[in-house]
Amino acid sequence: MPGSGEPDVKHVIAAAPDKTTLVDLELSGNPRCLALVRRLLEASAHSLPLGQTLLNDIKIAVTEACTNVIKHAFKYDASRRFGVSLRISPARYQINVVYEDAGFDPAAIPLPDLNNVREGGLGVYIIRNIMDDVVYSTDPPTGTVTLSMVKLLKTTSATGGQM
Amino acid sequence: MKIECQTDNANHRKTFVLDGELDVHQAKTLKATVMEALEPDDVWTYVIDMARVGYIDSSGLGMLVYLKKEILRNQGRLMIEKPTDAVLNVFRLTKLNEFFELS
Repeated sequence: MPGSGEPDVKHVIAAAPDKTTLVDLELSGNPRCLALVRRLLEASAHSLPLGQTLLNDIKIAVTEACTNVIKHAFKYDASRRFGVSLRISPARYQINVVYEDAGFDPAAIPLPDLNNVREGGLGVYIIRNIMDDVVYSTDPPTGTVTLSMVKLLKTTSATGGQM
Repeated sequence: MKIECQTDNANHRKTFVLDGELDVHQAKTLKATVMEALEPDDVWTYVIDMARVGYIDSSGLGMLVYLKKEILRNQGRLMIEKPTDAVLNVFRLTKLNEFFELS
């Protein structure tokens, strides 16, 4: 923006066409990067009408997605890399998490038994309950998995939990 | 995340005051701190004070589940005190508010 100073984030977002990628990150498989992702989400939401509760929900969903990559796909191998991109418009907040996991089968993700609590298995359940649209897509030839999570922003009523 | 352990020997009660975010990275620190403080031979109450925890994820929840099971195995009791709204929201989302003693 030559000569105009730093633009207000709100105006940049309002002017962006739907599904424009505003942030595209490459992250390492080190769990320390998770706090960094949360700070980024907080910054991206600064001028959006998200509210603290919705922002917290989005932070949880994205952290769960990244944690699953680091724990289950990468097995804490910090030398591996995965991508996180944010596509933000006034109506929707979309986060894509892209990584390689040749053996991943979305249909094999078990549902947790909330009446028989175990230490693990809650991550995807939480994501599906928080976000309005959650889609895993895989590309078997390359082993690339894309997790797309969308939160609709204009609806003020509770919209989670449909998955 | 900072963890401060306060021991009340008279009442057999240990309180762990957490300050920070309880995610996959910090869950192991909590596990090491609590497991090291477990008293195997007497009935103790262990309290996790979460007044200064603004964030918890499934790894943090999973670690609390693990710790509760370990403490029960040692005949002890685990209580979660003063969860923030953000933390309480995740407990409710997973129905773990019914599994833990929250106050």
